[in-house]
Amino acid sequence: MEKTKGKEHKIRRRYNLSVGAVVFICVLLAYPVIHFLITWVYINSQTIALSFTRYNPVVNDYQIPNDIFYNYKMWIDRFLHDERYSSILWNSALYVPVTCGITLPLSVVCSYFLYKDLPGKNFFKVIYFLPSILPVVVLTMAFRLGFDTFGYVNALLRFMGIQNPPIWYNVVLLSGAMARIPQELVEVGRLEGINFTQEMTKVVIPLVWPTIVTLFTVGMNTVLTIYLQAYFLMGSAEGNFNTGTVAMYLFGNYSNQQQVPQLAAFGLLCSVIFVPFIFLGRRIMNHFFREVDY
Amino acid sequence: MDASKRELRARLKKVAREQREKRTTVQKVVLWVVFGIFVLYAVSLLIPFLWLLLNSFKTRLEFSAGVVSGNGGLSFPKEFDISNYYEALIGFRVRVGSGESARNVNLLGMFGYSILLTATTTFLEVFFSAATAYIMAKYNFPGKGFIFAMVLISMVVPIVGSLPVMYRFMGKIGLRNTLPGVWFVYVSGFGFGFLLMNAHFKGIPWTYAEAAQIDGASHFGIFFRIMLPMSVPQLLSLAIITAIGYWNDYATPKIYLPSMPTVAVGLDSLTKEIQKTSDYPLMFSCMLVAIVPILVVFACFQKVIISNVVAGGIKG
Repeated sequence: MEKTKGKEHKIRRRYNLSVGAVVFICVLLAYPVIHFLITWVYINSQTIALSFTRYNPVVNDYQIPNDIFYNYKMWIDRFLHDERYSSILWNSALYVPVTCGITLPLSVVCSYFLYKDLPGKNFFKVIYFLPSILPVVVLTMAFRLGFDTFGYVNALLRFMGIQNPPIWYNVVLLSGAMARIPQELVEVGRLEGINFTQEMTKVVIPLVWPTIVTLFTVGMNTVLTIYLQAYFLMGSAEGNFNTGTVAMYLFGNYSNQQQVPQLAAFGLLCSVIFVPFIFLGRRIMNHFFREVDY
Repeated sequence: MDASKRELRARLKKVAREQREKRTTVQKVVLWVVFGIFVLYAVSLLIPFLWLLLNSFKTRLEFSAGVVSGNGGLSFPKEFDISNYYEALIGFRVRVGSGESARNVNLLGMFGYSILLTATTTFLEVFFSAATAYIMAKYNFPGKGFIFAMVLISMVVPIVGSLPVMYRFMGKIGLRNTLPGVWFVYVSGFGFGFLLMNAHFKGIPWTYAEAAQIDGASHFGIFFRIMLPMSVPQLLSLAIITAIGYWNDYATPKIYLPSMPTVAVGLDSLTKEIQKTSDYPLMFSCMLVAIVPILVVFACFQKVIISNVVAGGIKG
């Protein structure tokens, strides 16, 4: 007992903590730490554990089958041989070239011109940002209804409209980063006689590269997280394979308790497939320019 | 506005004017072409909402006639009839729940649920974010580095597939379809707000706390009576962007609180029901009414919202 007390006293002295400070820290950190332990550590470890089980209707519980990799093997088989499920992976993966290959470069160009004192730049910033604070259900329906049979756009615009790249959030972040670039750096370039393209590629982009890498990573993460846009544009999540995504499949089936092990294995397998690409993408992007403090 | 600010603004304007004058003809042409593209893009974002607005004042017959005539609803209503808005807000109802707990809810009721959920959850999230951020910024204790590392890992490593397990867990502990259950799902104290407030508290000198300690203030007293009041602008900014996120969220209330449909969730059900009756002007009114609170908040706090989004995501 005395030994424990002595240890506590040593720790308090080492960290310069009074009893009041220890109580204060414990009281205020209790909920966040418990919440983290439950929602992250426990739930994720349960997800991993359950992914190796199967539902047994006789005992109404999850049991470990003879082949503990049954769920994983089943999903690998489905991904390889069932077009419906491989299309889910394919649809999810398609968001990456759209977000990282089209939306992000467009956002960089748009942000650069907003940074260049384009007339009405504040107006554009507000208008471009507005959709990102509206409910997804309203936003997707507002666009979809216009393309409906009674809508105001024809079939050609319908295609273009759905592909309308959502650059709004990126533009606000990037123009914020560009606004922090010291004017002297840009002035030096101008004295050297560089044009818009050179200024953008040689001065502005290298300086805002960390923000671009962040947006690139967020864009790559959509492969595992995006579903609401497709859900509201195309309808039901359950059984929607043509436009379904990884997250949409989980969203459409989460309440089916008999399928929990399969869904857990599905989610984890998708993470295993896509997460290395996300990290690899980030690593490659980080190699292009060195981060500079300014 | 004081003289120094006026002077700074004048200098900035002068620099911008000088820069504009220095531009070559080619650069000016490029900028105007880009300006034209930007205008077109802005119009493409606004047109759907203008179209909804115009048609929301029409009767069902007038809208159908417009569709038949092929103008795609791009015409002014003969008469600005606001009855659709009354119907959208109060008259039209959807059935929620099942069995004895089943009841009809209108958009006004959904606003009530949204306000209740958003206000309580925002308060809790802002409080816990501030508390955790303050402790992590100002105190040194065993395990601090570990907690910080775990929080960062949880933010960076995306693990999907835990939704069914979480749903099952919430059912097991009896928190599914309850308000405290949604609070539990939403409020963590370790999210975006934590990062924002952590940076803020790191910037506050500890001398304020030391002075208060000399006057006999406890650790709780310092936090509640000195640090929190000093952080009101940051807390308000965080509350605004957090509240917008909760107000718009669809998935969490849909999954964990189906008996209390918020605007984002209920609007989906409302529009599906209205589509069955083909009363599109009523549906447009519902959609527009649903975004009014967000637009009002955005109009009032536009600078705060945008600057905080920038501050939160500027560095990799």
